[in-house]
Amino acid sequence: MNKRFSIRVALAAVVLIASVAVASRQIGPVPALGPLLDPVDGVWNLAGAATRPPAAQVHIPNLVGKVDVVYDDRGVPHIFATSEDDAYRVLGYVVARDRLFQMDLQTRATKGTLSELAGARLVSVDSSSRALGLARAAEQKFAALDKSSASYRALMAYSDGVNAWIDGLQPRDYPMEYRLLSGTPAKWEPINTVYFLMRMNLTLGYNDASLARMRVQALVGKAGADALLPVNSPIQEPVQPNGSSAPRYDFAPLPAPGAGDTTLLAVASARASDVNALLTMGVVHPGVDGIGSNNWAVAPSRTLNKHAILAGDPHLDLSLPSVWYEAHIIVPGVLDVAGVTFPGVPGIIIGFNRNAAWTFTNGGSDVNDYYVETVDDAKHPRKYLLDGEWKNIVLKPEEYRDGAGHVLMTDTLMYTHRGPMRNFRGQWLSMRWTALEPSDELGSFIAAPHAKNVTEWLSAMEKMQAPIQNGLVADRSGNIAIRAGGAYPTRPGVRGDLLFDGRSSANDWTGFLPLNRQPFAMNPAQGFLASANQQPIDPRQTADYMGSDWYSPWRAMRINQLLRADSAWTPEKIRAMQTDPGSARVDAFMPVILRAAKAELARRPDGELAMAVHILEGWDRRYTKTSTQAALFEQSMSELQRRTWDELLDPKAKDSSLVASPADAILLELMSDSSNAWWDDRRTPAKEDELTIVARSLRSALAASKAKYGAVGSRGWQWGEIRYANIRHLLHIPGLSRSKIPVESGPSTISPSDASGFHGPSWRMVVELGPEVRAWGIYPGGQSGNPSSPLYDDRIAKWAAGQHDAILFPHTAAELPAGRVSYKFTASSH
Amino acid sequence: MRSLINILLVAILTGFVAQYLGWIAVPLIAVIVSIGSRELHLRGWQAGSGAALSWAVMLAASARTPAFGELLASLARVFQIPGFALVCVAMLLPFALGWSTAVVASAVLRRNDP
Repeated sequence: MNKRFSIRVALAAVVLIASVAVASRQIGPVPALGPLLDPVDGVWNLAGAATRPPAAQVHIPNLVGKVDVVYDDRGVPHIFATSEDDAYRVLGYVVARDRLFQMDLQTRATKGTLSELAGARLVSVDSSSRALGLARAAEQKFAALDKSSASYRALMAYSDGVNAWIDGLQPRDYPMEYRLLSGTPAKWEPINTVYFLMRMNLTLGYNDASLARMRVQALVGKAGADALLPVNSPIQEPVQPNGSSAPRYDFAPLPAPGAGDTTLLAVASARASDVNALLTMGVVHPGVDGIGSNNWAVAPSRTLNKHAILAGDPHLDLSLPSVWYEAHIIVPGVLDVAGVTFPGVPGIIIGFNRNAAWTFTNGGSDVNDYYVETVDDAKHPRKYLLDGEWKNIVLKPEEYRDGAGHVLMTDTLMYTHRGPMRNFRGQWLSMRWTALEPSDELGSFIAAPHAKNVTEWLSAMEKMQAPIQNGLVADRSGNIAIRAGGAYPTRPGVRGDLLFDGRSSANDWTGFLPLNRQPFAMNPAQGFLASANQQPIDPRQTADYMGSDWYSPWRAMRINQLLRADSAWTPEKIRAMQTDPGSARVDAFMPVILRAAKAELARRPDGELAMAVHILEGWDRRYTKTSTQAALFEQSMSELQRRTWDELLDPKAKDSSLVASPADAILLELMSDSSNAWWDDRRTPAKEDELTIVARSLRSALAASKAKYGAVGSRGWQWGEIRYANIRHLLHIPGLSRSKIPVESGPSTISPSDASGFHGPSWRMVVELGPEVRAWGIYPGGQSGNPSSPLYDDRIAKWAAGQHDAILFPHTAAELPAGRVSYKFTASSH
Repeated sequence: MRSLINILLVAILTGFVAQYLGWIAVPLIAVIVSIGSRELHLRGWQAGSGAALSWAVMLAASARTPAFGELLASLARVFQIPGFALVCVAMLLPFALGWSTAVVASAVLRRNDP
C-alpha cells in the first residue's frame, strides 16, 4: 500500500468512527442523528403526520358499537358514540394521537421515572416526586377502586383507546420529543390517569403553609410571623358572599418584629430545597399573588338576555402543548358534554352540557401538615415513637433506572402512619397530606357532566376531596352556585400552619370538615358569585380553620367591583372582562403611595421623587400595552416590598431576596400605620418611617427604570415591551416554545401575569345558558402536540389579543357546518 | 457514465434497504458494493454520493407535504441552526457514512480503491 492510500484509509477510518458515533449515539443535547434524519423513519415523517388524517376506519379493541369522530376546523374532535365506555375509548385514542408525549411525560413526572426517558440528570426530580409519596398513593387509590365503578370502567376504556393508538405506531410516527430524547413511548396503563391526578394535586394542592411560617418565625419570632402570615386576610372579599356590598378592611396595627429562632431557618431551608427540584419542573408553583384562577357566574336577574352566564379561567403553567385538550362527547340520551379535558384523563373536566356549565378555581387551603418525629436511630431509623410506644416505619426500597434499564440510584422511602417521612437537616419530619388519602376524584369528573342542573352537579362533586376547588356551576333554569369543596382536615388546635409534635397521636388530624361547614352559596341576593383564590369564607361567619397566608383578594375585588356595576351583562361583555387591564391592587396602593410621597416632598423637596409622583399621577391605572407608567409602579412596589420587609432578608442569600414575601394586603395594612416599627430599616442607624421608605422606594424605582428602560416615557417603558407571556414547551426547548408574547395584564389583574410569564390563564371559557347553550373558549396553544402542525400554536395570537373562539356544540354530526369539518373517521372493534 | 451508473446503483440499493433497516442501510450497502468494487470500478466518493442521493430523493418526497416547511423551521429552532444547514447535515451524514465505509471496507478487504 502506498503512503497516499494509507492516509486516505486512515482519514476514512476517522470519518467512519465519527459519523457512526453521531449517527448512533446521543452526544450532549444532540440526539443520534441516524434515526433522527433517516428519511424513511426519521423526523421528516412528522410533516405528513401534521396534516394527514387517520384512516377512515380505525380499529380500537373492545368497542361495542361504531363510533363516529368528526374534527372541526379548530382540531376539536366531536365523538359520537353509542355508549359512554366507547366514548372514553375513542377519547383516549384521539387524545393520544395529538398528545402522546405529553401524556407519557406527565405520568413519568408523578411516577418518578423521568430518568428512564431523559437520563440521569432527572434522577433528583424523580427522587423528589417519589419522596412525596405520590406514586404510592396513586397505586393505593387505583387498587381500592371498585371494579364495577364508573371510574374504573372509564380508566379501562380510555386505556384501550390510548393503547390502540400506541400499538398502531411505527417508529416513523413517534412524536418529535421521543426522537430528541432517543426514547420510545411506554404502554399506557389505566393507573396512569391516577398518576396524573396526583400530579395536579401537587400543582394545586401542595400548600405547605408551615414552611413559609418557619422561615419568617426564624427571623422575626412568633408574633412577627403571626402578623405577616395571618390566618385571616386583612381584606375580606370571600368566595361565600358575606352580605357586604364592598370589601371589608380588617386592618389592625402590626405587632413589632421580635427576636428570631435561627435553628428553624436551617430546617426550613432544607425543606425549601426539597421542593426546588419540583419548582424547576414547574410542578409546584411559587406562592405569589401574580398567579391564580378566576371564575364567576351571573344570575339571569343581572344579564341582558335573562340567562345565567358562567365564566372561568384557570391559571396554570402556560405550556406547549397546553395542559388542556378540547373535546365534545355525545352519547345520545346519556351524555352530551363539551369543554376541556386533561390529556390522560377520561372525561371533560371544565365545560358544559345541554343544561349546565361548570368551572373551577383553586382553593389554596392548608391541607398538609408536618410532624417532628422521634426515631430510634438518627441515621437509619426503623421505628418512631408514638404515645410512648415504638412503631415500625414502613420501608419502601426504590430504584431509579435509565432508558436501558441500568440502575442509576437507589434509596429507601419511609412512611409513618401519617405519610412519607424524610430527614431535613437532622430533623425527621413526616407529612400528612389530603392528596395521599383514599379518594376517587375521577368519579366526580365522570359523574358531573351528567348533571341536569346545579343541584345534581353539586351532588356529583361531593366525592371530590383533593385538591380543594372552588367549583362554580350555573344551569339553564337560572341557578348559580359555588362550593369551596374538598377535604379540609380538622386539627386538635386552631391552626395547621405549624410544625406538630409527632410523639403524640393527639396532634393528628381529628377528621375533616363536614360538607355543611364548607364554604357554599347558591342563588345569592347579589345576583352573582365569584372566586379568585381568595379566603373562601369570612372569619366572622365561621370559626373553622381552612388555611393561612391567603392570596390577596385583588382579582376577586376587581371582578366583584365590575359585576356590581352592571345589571345587563352579555356574553360579549363577560368575555371582555376576562382580560380587563384594571387592578384593585393599583387602586388600593396608589392613593396611599402618593399620599406618603407628597407628605415626604413637603418635608424634604426632591426633584426625582417629584418626577416619580408626576409619572404615577398620570397613569390611568390600567396595564395596557402602551402604558408607560405601569413599569414604574411595579418597580416601586418591588422596591417597597424589599425595603419594608428588610427584617426578612435571607441572611444566607447573596442577593437581597426575602425568606418569604408577605401578601400585598399585609403591606397595605401596614401603610395605615405610618410609624409602625416595621418601617424602620434595621440596616441603617437612623430610624425610618413610612414616608422615608416610600420616598426611597420611588426614587430607587425611578433610577432603576431609567437604567432598564431608557429615558422616561420612551418606548422601552411601554408595558407591552416589558411584560410577556412565555409559553414553554414541556421540555423547555426554546425552539418549540413561544416566548415574549406581549400581554395586556399585570400582577393581580383579572388576567394576571407574573414576572416570569410562565403562568397565566390556561383556558378561558364563557357559557350562556339560554334555550340553546352558547359557549366561547380559548387556550394558549393548539390541539396538536406536533410542532409542525398548524394546530400546534394556532390559538396563541387570539388568546393574547383577549379573543375567544365560538365553540361548536352540534347535536348530531350532520349539524356541523360542512365548511368547518376538517376530517372524520369511524372507529370499530373490527 | 460509469460513475453515474454506480451512484444510481448505490442510491437505489440504499433506498430499498432503508425501507427496512433505516439509516443502517447506508453503511451496509457501502460494505456490499465495496466487495464488488473492483468489478464495478466503484470509488468511495461514488458510494457516498449514491447514499446522499438516495436520502435526497426520499427527503424531497417528504418535502411535498404542506407542513414540511414548518417542520424544518421547528427543527431549525430546536437545533438553533438555519433550516438549510439541517438539510445539508442530512445530506452530509449519508455521504460521510457511505464514503468512509466504502474506503475502509475496501482496505479491509485488501483491495486497492482503483
